[in-house]
Amino acid sequence: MVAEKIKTIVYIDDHEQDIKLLQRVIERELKNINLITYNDSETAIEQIMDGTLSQYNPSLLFIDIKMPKISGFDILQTLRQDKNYQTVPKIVLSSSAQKSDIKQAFDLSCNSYIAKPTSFPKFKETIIYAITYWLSYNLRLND
Amino acid sequence: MKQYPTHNDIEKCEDEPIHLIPRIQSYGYLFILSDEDLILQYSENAKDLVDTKNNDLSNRHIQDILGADFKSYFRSWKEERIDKESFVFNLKEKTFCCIPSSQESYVSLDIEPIETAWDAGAFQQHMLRLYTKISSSKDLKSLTDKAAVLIQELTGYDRVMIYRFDEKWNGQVLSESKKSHVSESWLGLHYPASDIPKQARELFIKQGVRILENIKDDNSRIVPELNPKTNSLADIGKSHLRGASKFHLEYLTNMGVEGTLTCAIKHNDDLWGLIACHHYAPKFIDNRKRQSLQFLSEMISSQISKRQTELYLENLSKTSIIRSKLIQNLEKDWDVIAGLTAYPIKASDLIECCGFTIIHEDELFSIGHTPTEKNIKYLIESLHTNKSFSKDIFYTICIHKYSIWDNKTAQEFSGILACKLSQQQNEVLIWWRPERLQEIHWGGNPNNKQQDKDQRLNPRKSFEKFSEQVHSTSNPWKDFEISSAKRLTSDIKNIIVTKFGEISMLNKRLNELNKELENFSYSVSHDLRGPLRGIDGFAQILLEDYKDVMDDSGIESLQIIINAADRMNQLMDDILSYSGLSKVRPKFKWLDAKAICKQIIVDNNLKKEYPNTTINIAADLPEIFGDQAMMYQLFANLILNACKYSVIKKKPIVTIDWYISGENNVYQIKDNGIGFDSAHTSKIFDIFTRIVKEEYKGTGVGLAIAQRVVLKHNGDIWAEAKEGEGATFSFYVSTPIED
Repeated sequence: MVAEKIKTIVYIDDHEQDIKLLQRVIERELKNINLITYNDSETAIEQIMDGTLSQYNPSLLFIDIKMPKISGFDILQTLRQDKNYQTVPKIVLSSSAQKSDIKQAFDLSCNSYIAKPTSFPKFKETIIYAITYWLSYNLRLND
Repeated sequence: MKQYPTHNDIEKCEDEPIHLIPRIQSYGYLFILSDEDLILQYSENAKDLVDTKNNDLSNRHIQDILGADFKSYFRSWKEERIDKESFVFNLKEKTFCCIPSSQESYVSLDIEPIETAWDAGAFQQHMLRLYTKISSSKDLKSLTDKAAVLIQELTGYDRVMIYRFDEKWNGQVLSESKKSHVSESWLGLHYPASDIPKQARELFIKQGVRILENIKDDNSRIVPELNPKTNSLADIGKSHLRGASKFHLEYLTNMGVEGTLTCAIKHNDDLWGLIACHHYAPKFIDNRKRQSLQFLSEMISSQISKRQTELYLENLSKTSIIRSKLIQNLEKDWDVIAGLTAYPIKASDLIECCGFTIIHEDELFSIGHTPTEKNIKYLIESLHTNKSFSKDIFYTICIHKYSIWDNKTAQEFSGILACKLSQQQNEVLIWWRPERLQEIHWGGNPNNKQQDKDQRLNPRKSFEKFSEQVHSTSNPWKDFEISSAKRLTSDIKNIIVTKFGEISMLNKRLNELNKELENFSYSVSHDLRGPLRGIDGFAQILLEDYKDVMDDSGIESLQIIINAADRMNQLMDDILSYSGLSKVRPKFKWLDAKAICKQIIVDNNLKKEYPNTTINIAADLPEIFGDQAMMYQLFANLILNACKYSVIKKKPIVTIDWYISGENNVYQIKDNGIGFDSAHTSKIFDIFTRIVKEEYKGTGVGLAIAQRVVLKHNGDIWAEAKEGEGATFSFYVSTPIED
């Protein structure tokens, strides 16, 4: 595909099933992508805060909202205060399409909000579009 | 006042200052004393009582002229100075009674002869007997009847009447006891208020008992006429001896009466009635007997008060049963109007009336016989404008006097009792009473006062029974009726306040439930869709990865899993949109129904999806009044159904049409499709009910949504169909009332 360098995508979601689906889409449909996943938002936020994650130099983050203990909003809040992530696109991938959730996510500076499509073909299509757009077409200062 | 007005000076009886009359009845003697007990004024006849060579008693000391007996009693009276407490003394072998009364700057003494020997024991026994007789009477009428007889026995007057005042001070003879030679009965007769004018009534309350011994008596002048201290006529209003008004004497003369005695009957500190005793010859009753009479009349007064109060309480408790029933009705469904008018016991049962009207929350509702709505509204408005109804309650037995209505209406609904439910004039309870044609029998024509050549009013000369028809007047509103109307009103006020409380509580609860429902919908979408995504996703993955190694049955099984997941998704979408209908408060406005239908065709790509189907929209399809989003859902569900169930026909036709039925526009969506058995029409709108075969996709929610939308718009929806020949769905929604 368009991407030449290997880029790192991070996906934080407590649903193992959705991680597997996304993994499969990336493996089968896209190239040069290194996917780091967290099915536990507590570990994710620890590694964001201690700088472990930023060492991988992620190019894109997918974040679920409804997660136990640490929610997607908490993660967005933390990322907003971290210089390392200022130019990294943060995409919410949630099964909720509640207006209040969308508003809160954008208030916390997410860059895009995607409601997880229920049917797999739709899901595949959406993920491919999103990654292609943010990694290939969207221009960033430090690229 | 320096001079007592002459007969000709006075235009009306009630203008006469009778307490200043400068003469007394000659059966007694009057002295007006200074603080030092010097005589300031005296009645001329007093000279007969006193052995004096001096012609003038002025400035003589009272203790010097009435003997030693008087002197000692008078001294002891002076120590106590109890007003009107009489004492008895002997002078020249005669017994006299002295009744002193204090005025502001002087003391006046009535001195009158005592006829009878005094036996305190016998007196007490007699009074006890009277008391027992009077208090044992069972009702007011028998009480006054007994009292009249007893008083006649006690006094020996020719005629004793118990006389009761109405609210306008007209009097009616309640009871009468007369000697056999008195032929004409005055029982039941009415006397106009002018017969006993205001200032006379006031003196009755002060004085209690008043005797006129002989109306032909020449009276004794008070000399000097002006009190030397005040330089004006002395107030002898408290004196029993006071001479009578010329008007009154004339009046009595016209009646043929020569001696009278009158006692006041009081209730709640006001004059309730009189005991009037008439004699056709002069008659004197001494002070002791008069005091017995006074005592008796106080006894009667208290018995009457007691009976009035008992009657009031009895009536009130009767009405309070009705009142509590009404309140129960009201509380059944918090509907004030229905509570007062819709149940077997109605507000019109609380108070005797011909009809009842309630105006509440801009609704006017009447039961029974009442004026027209227009007349009622005009009446209430007028009563407010002229300030008659500025308090919480208004009542009259003759609305005619207010000159608001035409004569006919004012006659038909003469009596009005109205209570305000709030300060606004459009919150009222009204009881209506019809005219009561009544005949009042006056003792003489009250409207026909005699006028002589001098244009001066004389008291009536004729006491012939005069009957008058009273028009445009209802039965009076009684005390207990007025107070039960007031109580009902205040009960309703309380209920309205409670009702507001209950409603706001229900609203709160409703909001909570809505919130819960919202949360439920939310968790349905979030929690159920996750697993579904897994089922669909991994079934798809299996299909992609292992298609080559699976046989047809395996592949078909996976396909069924995928289809089932898809259907479940669809079902969840529909449930959410159905429950979503309860969340939003519709915003009603006029909408272009044609535009909505066209939009639905575009949005759903119907021309591509159903290429063979002709969709006709009536060119004159009228605007519809409703919520934009809901109306879209309504039309969309019906149009998509029509397309779906007609597609198998060679030439499917879907028609959107309308017709007028009564006040409503009925919209119709017709198709020539598969139709259904009309036996199912009742079930077709139930949620999850499907009456077509599996080959037609659907969740059974679409028509339930359509029905819910229509019901939310206060309308109705129905279906007609024939199996194989198509279906027609018709609905209307209610429109706002045109101003």
